[in-house]
Amino acid sequence: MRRLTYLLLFNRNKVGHMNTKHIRILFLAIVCFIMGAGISSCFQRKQTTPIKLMTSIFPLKEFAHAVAGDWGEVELLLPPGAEIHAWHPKPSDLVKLSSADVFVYIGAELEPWVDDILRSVKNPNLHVIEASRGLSLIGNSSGEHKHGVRDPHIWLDFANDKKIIDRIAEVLSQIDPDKRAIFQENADIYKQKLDAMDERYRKGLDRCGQKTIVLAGHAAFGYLARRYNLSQISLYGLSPDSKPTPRQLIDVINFVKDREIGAIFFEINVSSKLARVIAEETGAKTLVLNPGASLPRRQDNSGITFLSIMEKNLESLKNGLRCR
Amino acid sequence: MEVFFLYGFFQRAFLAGVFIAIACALLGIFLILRRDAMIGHGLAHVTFAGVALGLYLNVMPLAVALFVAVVASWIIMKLKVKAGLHGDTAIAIFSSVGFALGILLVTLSQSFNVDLFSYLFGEILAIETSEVVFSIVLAFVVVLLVVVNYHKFMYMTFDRESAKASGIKVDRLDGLLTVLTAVTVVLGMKVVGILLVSALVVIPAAAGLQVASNFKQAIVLSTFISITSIVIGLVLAFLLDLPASGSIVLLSFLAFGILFVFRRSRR
Repeated sequence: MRRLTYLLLFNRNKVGHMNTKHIRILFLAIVCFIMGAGISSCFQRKQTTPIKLMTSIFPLKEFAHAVAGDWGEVELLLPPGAEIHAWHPKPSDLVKLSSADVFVYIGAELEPWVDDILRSVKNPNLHVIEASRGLSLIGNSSGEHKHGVRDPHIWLDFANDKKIIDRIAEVLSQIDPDKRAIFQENADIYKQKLDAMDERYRKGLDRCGQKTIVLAGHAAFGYLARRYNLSQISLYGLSPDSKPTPRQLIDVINFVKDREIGAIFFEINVSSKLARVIAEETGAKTLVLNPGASLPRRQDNSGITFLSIMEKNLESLKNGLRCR
Repeated sequence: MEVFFLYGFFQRAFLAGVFIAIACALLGIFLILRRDAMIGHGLAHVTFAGVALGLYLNVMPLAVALFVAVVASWIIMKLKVKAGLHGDTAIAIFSSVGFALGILLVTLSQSFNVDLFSYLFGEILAIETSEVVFSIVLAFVVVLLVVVNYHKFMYMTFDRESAKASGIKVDRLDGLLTVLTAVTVVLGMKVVGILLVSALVVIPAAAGLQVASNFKQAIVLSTFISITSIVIGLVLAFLLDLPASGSIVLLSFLAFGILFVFRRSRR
């Protein structure tokens, strides 16, 4: 309205000889034009503009992209090399989020900033998907004393991923009911890939010399371990933002020595220094195991997918756990 | 206790700590007497910028930090003389600018994680053999330089103008002291972290100066306090899971406090 008044005043100044009647007609014309444009864009919106999806971590981006296909634009908040537990969104991310249609995040305290930004972003059209909701979460098993700590690394269980994909498909279908069949089909195609990968994990990790994944990082692989009857021990707890104590380091070293464990796994985006320390003390080798939350920094990341990351992880695990 | 000596990482932390303690105590005495106690603090902040630059460029942070700290120490020296900045103004400027630059680079490089924390608070669990060797070499260089230039340093510390007049190359010695401090700060960073490394330079030396009746006594006493606080601090860290940095600094402060009270009561 202020804009219109301004236009009116502006026009009066410029075309001072016009009488009030002309000005009224002009005013009306402008109002009609703006309203018409607004209404028509409302009607067209769903057909032409792709659905804008924002995701917190890389696997969610891949899932969202797999479901939405060409009908959606998916953006990833977490930049390459960033560590999800420590990263914070930038002001420009909030701007993007305020014009997005769907926001998918993990929850279970993986992204501690989510509550704050959802409160500050005023976007009534935003559909928020908390991926961990409704899944069976692993409680705290890493020996931390905090109560109610839940393991947020749910995407490392392919069954969870399939449920997340179903929910993304459901929300996209609500936004654009005409394409329900397309979204459902896309979801099914990707879920088949996950099933195939799940099967390869099951076979690959069936007969292994060791059943314990020793992590020189944080306890990110609880879901993966649970799914394939393995266990994990780690230097840090569920989040790598604290430092291990000497006692923890010694415990891990002794564990590796006692069980004659052949390999220690470390994360690609977290320092490998402590893995090297353990390796030096024990003679075990070090292998990369990537939780895949973000892409590695400063590399050609084209062609890297969540599935290719999991493929590499399987190779590392088979190698490190001496699987046949 | 002995069990800890079985672990390589403990031996490395221990060795590096002892030799850094020696360098810190020696340099600290001269810096305090020259009223330059804050230089360690300033250089530590600049070191943060160096570490961040290393993380950003994805090259060895320690090497970059060393380079940046040495360059900064040289600039601080020059600023003090040439720009006519009084006292610790140059240090105050550089410490804030260093930290500001560090925060910027760390954010750009997206490495706000355990890597960065290990530099801010020390990383006694992952001191590398090369860093131990560096520390030993540094300690030897510092001791050697102090022994060789002992009288010059003394003269310069207590009466700079006369020292200059008598033909001592005051500026060169100044530079030497500052550069050595920069190197010490960078190496000390591994043990107690950027945020507390300046305490290693200042507190043991200040404690020694409380009760020493002459310069040699001050050197011996400060070195002793420095080594003891680091050794006991590390042992506490390994036995009780306390943070090494905090324990070491608080222990040296305890020594300072005891000697302070001792001096007061003696009067």
